[in-house]
This record gives sequence, structure tokens and C-alpha cells, in this order.
Amino acid sequence: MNADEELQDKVPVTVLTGFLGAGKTTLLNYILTENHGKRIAVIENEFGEIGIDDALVINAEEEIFEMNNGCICCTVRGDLIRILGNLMRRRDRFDQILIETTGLADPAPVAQTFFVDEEMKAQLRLDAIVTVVDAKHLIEHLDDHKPDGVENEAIEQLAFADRILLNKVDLVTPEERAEVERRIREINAIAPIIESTHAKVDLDRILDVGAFDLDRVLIGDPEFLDPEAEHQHDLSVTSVGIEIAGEVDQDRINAWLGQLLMEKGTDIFRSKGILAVAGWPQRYVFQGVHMLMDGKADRPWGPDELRSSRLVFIGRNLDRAELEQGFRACLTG
Amino acid sequence: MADFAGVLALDPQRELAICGSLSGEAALVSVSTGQTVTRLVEHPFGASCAAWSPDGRMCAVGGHDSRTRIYDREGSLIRVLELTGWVAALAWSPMSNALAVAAGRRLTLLGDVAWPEHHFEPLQSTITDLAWSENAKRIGATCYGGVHWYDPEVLGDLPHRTYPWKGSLLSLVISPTGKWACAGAQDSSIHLWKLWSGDDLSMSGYPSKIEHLAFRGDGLWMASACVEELTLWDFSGRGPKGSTPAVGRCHERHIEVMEWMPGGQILATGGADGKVVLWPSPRKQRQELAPVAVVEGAEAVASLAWVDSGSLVVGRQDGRWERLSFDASINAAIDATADARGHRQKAKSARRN
Repeated sequence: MNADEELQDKVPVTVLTGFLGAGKTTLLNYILTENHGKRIAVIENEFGEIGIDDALVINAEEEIFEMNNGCICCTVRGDLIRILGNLMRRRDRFDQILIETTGLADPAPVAQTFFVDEEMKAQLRLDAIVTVVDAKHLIEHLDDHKPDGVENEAIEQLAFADRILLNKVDLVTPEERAEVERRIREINAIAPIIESTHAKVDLDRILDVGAFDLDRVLIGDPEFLDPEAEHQHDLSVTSVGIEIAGEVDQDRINAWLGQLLMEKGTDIFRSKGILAVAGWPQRYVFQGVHMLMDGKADRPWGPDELRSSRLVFIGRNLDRAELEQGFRACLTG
Repeated sequence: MADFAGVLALDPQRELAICGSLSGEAALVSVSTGQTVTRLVEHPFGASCAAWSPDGRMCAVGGHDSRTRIYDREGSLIRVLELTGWVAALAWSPMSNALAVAAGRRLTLLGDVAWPEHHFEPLQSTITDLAWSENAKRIGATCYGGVHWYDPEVLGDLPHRTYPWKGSLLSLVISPTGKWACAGAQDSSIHLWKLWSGDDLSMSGYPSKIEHLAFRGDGLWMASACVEELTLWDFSGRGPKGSTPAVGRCHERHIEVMEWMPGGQILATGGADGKVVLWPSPRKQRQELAPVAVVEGAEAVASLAWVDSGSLVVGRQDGRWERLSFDASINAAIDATADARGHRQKAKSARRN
């Protein structure tokens, strides 16, 4: 089986996050009732709101486990490991899996579950984290001051997103909508924003999109590489994108990334990159959630293609100058 | 059956099998004819586990619908227990006088006097497995955070004792010698406790989580399955600390189930690759085991159980059940194991003399 067939053989899993009242349940109802021809198994967290005949809907009770692997931020969802293990025994019943998280959930344990369990890695692929936000109330949630040490879940959910569903756009003016998008971009500069009303959306834009597919890392990346695009510096959660022409030394980049994620992994929610490694004919692509990282050799560089490396980090208290300096120190020559 | 035939339990007499599937069907089936004797009540969302009482008078079936049903040998319903959460494990006491049920975070114990039920306080996370001590004095429950020991005589709300472990424990076996509790863990290790002292140790280096453990009847070897590899630890003497296991490699995908033949001469494993593999009992540490027999199948093995020393019942992913019989090759392996044990016994006697 080649890499493409292996990828196709794995069941795509979409993680649905979003603050309370953003429209997750409306979206779930839409997905479960719309005649879209997709067979989707849904693992939902909140009881009693959906009752769909003949659909594979499973209730989950969130159980977060710390992994005993020396990684301080490595938490996983034990309930998901059990449920997904069972679900995969009914593989012929569905083509995709959708996991709904609670409105106050940190998406990291869900995403990390797909990195640490070998059996799940072999059968499933995390496709995308889709965050539903309410255009009318998002800014209010983002500005909600939490006590020290308490996370603002709305910010975290945006930071983790691969796709952002900006819902209820009919309730805001064009100016308000632009401001909401600006605030979203301050936190997550790379996730495509999809506008919707009543959570009605072309499902091909949020399901099986391959956002965690290493072959598609940073494809269509927008303005995140522009340092000037980081409009604000008073925010604790931001995106930093860096692109540097030239090749990096394999040992140096390994050491730097390893050290960086070990020391700052708690604050770095997501990382993605395409690297030009000296001596490698192919691009090296990687994805990370906190300290966990998955990477592989990708397609070969084209004969006339400029060999350059691109990295993006989304996280808390990121220091662009420090990150860029560390990255540059990995260049050959 | 229509779906994953993953629930299988044979009565001690090897006459009746409880067969259940993820489609929720459950039935008592004659082992000799393969015919359904009685259809049991369906479990919406799937049957998850089943167990016979050691005296063979009763059986229990648990499901993802949070219900456990207890039947007599004819399949007549004696009792229904409705709890919260999937029924993850059922375990009859060795005396057949109590049934332990793990559903969600809570252990429930049914005693035999008018079947009173006792609900212990919920644990911090979902219980994954149960095992009784051989003398029926304790029942162990694994979950994230350790093994919890309950005293079925004292009852109360809380565990009698907890052996803590910072990690998610997935499977539990107690050695037939009563000396060891062994738990397979999500963090690619097996964690062991010496029950006489409470001391613990870990066996790590596995490539993935450990969901399947099985002691040989005499307690001298414990098999563990991880991904496609079988590993057998020597529990003779002071235990496996510092030892190197025997290994068996034949499966091409995950080992899904395993069971020792009564008598312990052969271990059967069934895999997601569809293979049923029979392994000889190891003779020594570090031994590379060669299969005694391999039966290929198109569908993944979902369950298996020994009927006698020459045949197995196997359930497959597509819901089919089959009886596999083996030829003389396995008898040769059984004889060889018996010889090896005889030699070992003689050597011990000689040393004593």
C-alpha cells in the first residue's frame, strides 16, 4: 500500500469546538439531517439535544488523562480512545467521524489523543479542528477577563482551529464582521474563515479537508508570514510565521525544535512547517500540537523551485525575534 | 450474527457458549452442534462482555446499554441490573457466589443472598477491567490512577486498598499463585504489584498500549500481546524482574484476543490479520517461539475460546462463528511441553536430593 492509499484507508476525524451558544449543536443537527450522502459517526458530549434515528451517535463523558511519558502538557481523552476503538469495529457503517467537544473544552487533549495512541494512528487520521464562533458575541468572549491561571477557552479554541466557521453573520453589520475577522486573525492567522448563518455550510469545506494532512501543510497560507500582519502585541495568544530562504541543517533544526517544544510546548498550541533540509531532495513537513510532533518527507523540490523553509507557531507569549533568531541559527553555511 | 462477534464465553463444562456481537444480539449456543439453544435479550448499542459462573449454573451478559442480565443455563432471565455507562467487565467470584460488574466509574457487586446489590462509590475514572483474587477475598478494578482493591465481605463505600499508578491502566490479571497483580497500561508498559508486599515494578519497552494479558494456569508464565507481537514473562521464583521474555512473532496485524488451553500447554492468539495462531508454552526465557499451527482467515478475529485440547471456537469481525479443530501437530507440541515440565520437575527433585 502506498502513502496515498494508506491515507485514504484511514478514517478522517473532524473535531468540532466552539464556545457555548456559538452554533455547534445547530451545525451537528444540520450535518445529521442534511441529505449530503456522507455516512458520519458522531461522538457528542452534551446529552439530549440530538435524537436522530439510524444515525450512529454516541455520547461521551470527557475523561482527560495525563500521559505518563514525561511530557508535561501531554493529556489525552481516555474516553475517546475507548469509544473510537469500539467504533472502528463497525468500520463498514460510516466513512467519517465527527467529535463534538464541550463549549468549555480545551481542544488539545482531543488532538493529542491522535498522536499518542498507536492503534488510533494506524486506523484514523485527524482531519481538522473546526471551531464555530458566534459573530455577534465572539469579541465579548475574547475580551472576557479570566482570573490568573484560568484559560480563556474562546481564545484557545480559535488558536487550535484549522477551519473557523464564523456563524450568525446575519446578526452583525459589515463593519462588525470585519472587526470580528480582524480579531480572529490576531490569534489565528492561517485558518480559513468560512461565514455562515444558522450554521449552514458546504460540508466539503469543513469535513475531510485534510488540514492535518502533512502533504497539505501551509498550502494556501495567507498573510501570516508577514511580520507586519501581527497587528497587536498586547495579546498573549498570537500567530508567528517565519519564512527563510536557504537550507537548514538537519541536526541543528532537530535540536532547536526539540528544545523549543520541550521548553515552550505548553505555550505553543500549534506548530506547522515545511523545511528545506540540506542533503534532502524532498521537502520535510511537520505538524505539532503542544509538545507532540508528527513529520515526514514530502514531495521532491522542483528543479527551479526556491528552497526555503517556512514555520508557523500559534501560541501564548510568542517572541517573534527569538523564534526567528533560533530558526536562522539552523541555516547551513 | 450481523456484526463483530466479540463476546464469547464457554461454560466450565464446555457445552454451552454465550455468543454476542456489537449489533447487540446475544444467544446461548450448543458448542457441540453450533445450534442456537436460546436467544437472549438484545443489548441496544452492542453486547460488550459475558461470563459464566465457575459452577456453570449461571451466566451474565453486559452491554453498551448499561444493562447486565443474569440467566440460568436454560437462558431464563433471573435478573437485570441497570447502571450508568458501558458495562466494561463482568467477573464472577471463584466461589460463584458473587458477580462484580464494572460500568462507567462504578463497581457494583451482586451477592448470592437474595441477590442484594452493593454499589461502591464511583472512582475517578472509568473502570477498564476486573479480576478476583484466587481465594475470592478481594476484587481488583483498574482505571486511570491505579488498581483498586475491594473487600467483598466488608463492602463499605471505598476500596479496601489502592495500588496507585500515574497512568491509564487498561487490563488486569491476578496470578493464579495469588502473588501478583499485573496491569497493562496505555503508556506502553505493564505495571506489576507484589501483593504480599505492595512493592511494584514496571516492564516497559513495548511499542504500544497493552490490552491483553493472560497467566498460564500454573502462574509460571504470563503472556502479553502488544500490536502484532506476543511476549511471555517468566513468573517462576522471584518473578520477572531483570528477566528477558520469550517472544512469538507471526501475526501481521494487532493481536485482538488470546487464551491459554486448559492445562496450559498451548496459547491461542487471534489477530486483526484474520490468523489464529497456536503457540507452544515457552521452555525458557529469551526463547523465540515457533507457532505450532496457523489458521488463516479473511476476517479479523474478534473472540476465541478453547473447547478442548483439539479445538477452538472463534468469532470473526463479520459476525461469523466457527469451530477450528487441530490435528496431531498440536498433540506433539502438548507432549513436548509435558516432557519439558517433567524434565524440569525431575531436575528440581534431583537438586533437592
